[in-house]
Amino acid sequence: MTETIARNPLAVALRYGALSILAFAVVCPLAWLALASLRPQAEIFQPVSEFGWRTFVPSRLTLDNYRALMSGDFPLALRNSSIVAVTTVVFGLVVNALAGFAFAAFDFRGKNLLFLLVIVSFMMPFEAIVMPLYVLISGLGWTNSYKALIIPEVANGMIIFLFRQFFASIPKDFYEAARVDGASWLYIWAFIAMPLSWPTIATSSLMLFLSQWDSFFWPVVAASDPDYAVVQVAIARNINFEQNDWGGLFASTNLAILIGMIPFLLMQRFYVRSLISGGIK
Amino acid sequence: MATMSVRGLRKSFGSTEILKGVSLDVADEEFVALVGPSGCGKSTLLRLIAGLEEASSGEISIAGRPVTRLAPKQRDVAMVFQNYALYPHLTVRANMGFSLKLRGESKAGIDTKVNQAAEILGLSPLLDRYPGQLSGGQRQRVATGRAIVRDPALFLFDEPLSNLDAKLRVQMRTEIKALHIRLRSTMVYVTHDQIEAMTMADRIVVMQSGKIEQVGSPLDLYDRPINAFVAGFLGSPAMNFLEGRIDGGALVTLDGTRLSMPGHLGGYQHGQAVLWGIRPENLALAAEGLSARVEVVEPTGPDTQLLLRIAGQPIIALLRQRMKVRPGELIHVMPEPGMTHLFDKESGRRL
Repeated sequence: MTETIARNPLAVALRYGALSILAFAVVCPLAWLALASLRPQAEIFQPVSEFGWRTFVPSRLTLDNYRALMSGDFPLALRNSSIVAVTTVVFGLVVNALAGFAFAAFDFRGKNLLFLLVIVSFMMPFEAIVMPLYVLISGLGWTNSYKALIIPEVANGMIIFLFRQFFASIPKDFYEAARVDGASWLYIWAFIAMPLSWPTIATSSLMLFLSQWDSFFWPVVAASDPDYAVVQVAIARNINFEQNDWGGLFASTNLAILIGMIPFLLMQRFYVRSLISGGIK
Repeated sequence: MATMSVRGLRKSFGSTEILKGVSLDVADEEFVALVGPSGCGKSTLLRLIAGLEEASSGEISIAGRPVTRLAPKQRDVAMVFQNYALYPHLTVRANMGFSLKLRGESKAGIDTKVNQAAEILGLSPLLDRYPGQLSGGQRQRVATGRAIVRDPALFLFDEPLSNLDAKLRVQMRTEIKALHIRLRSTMVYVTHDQIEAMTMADRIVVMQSGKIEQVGSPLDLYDRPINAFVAGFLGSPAMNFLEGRIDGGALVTLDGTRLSMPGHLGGYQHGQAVLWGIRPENLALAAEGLSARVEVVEPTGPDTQLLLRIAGQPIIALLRQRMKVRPGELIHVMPEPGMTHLFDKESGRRL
């Protein structure tokens, strides 16, 4: 690799040039968003018409947008989203991993058909089931509650699929050895299968967390009460018929991105570590 | 330690019958090897005894207690798997103590038993390592150690040495045998390697197509195989067979060659189609006898193995001497008296 670079500086320059342009294209809107949230309200769109360095560098930095955000409903939305996302991750891991384990370890009547349904369930667009789901939730009297936001999202076909694939790849000998040693199936799941599946647990946690953190449509439908507003709903509320609070929109979007990254950074460490320990084996 | 018995055991997977009515008694402190070609049902039989598969019909009892419908953990058996099945996220100590922890034994009790087993197997310095940090032979020992700590009524081994290289396999063979003597335990050992079975077992069970062909001590089976299958399965190089018909005191082979075998073929039905068998080491050079064309000469040091052609059929002779024959030469060999075997061509049954 280093040799190639030394031999052909022109190719290297071209490659890095192309990569830089791509990186700029990707980062530019985000950088603009981040910086715009630090501008005074009146200045946000001022420099856009004349594209230049002033487009990115504010004349004056201020935290006014964030202060306004924090004194409003946004902290409640952050709290709601965190509760909903973390609870979904905890219950989702248990439920989906158990289901995946059952598909991987047991033979039962109708197993293939059931698994097909699981796969179909995550192929289906969510919009297709919103109405029946709402009727169900409303029939149970769960609208405007955490239950409405969490429970429909706990079971996730994609995650069941991921766990099944992983558990099926664990040699059956592990399960059988544990059974001969006197372990129950639940014990085997918790103390043999799960500790071996860190990569799948990390991936699944992230997927569950982000799906809840980013969810907008279902919360708008199922929990329209401001007390249960989640982050994405709170962000959208900055823009309405009467006024557009661009500063608030950008600041809240920024916060949502930053906080949404925390579990990713945490999980990444686990993910990398489990990959390394797998390599040694 | 305990006895084990199996009565009329059958097992089907879908429409395929893997075990077709197997009955077997294993005595207390006995080492029994189940051998047979792949697919003969030996592993299935072991898994049924362990409780990992449910019998379609038949009875299994361990230490006089019927266990056919019991879960594996209620059977008081320990099993060593072909792939060892060591839990990769647990240390050697935790792997070996796994079953004791499940049984709810005290930490001190577990430590004592694990240390004791580690001592026997020479694993003491490795107790805090993970399986990934061990060599193949060490992993095999840990798997055996995991079984030992339980002090079970019955040990089950499922081809435990087949993942080791040849040299290590011989060493572990001796170790397991020594362990059996030391623990005075009842062991059922599945292998496809007839040398393993011959060297380790008190009794060998030869299986084919879901049935037991013959049960007996290794040398019994070797010297008096009940049929051509058992005769051909045990021994390496395998027993030679000549196909032909009995005609008086002679064997007339397929190509019409008349091999006179004085004293070997008396008293059998004239004209019967038979397989005449002789082990390679029971053929000796002679001035006269069966005339054989040498095809290949393989010196191994102490022995010389000759591939011969007698009456158009290939025959291997294993001679305990160094020889100066060349391929193409014509020699004479004589079967050792009393060491020939005769089987019915149709049924394969010993005559």
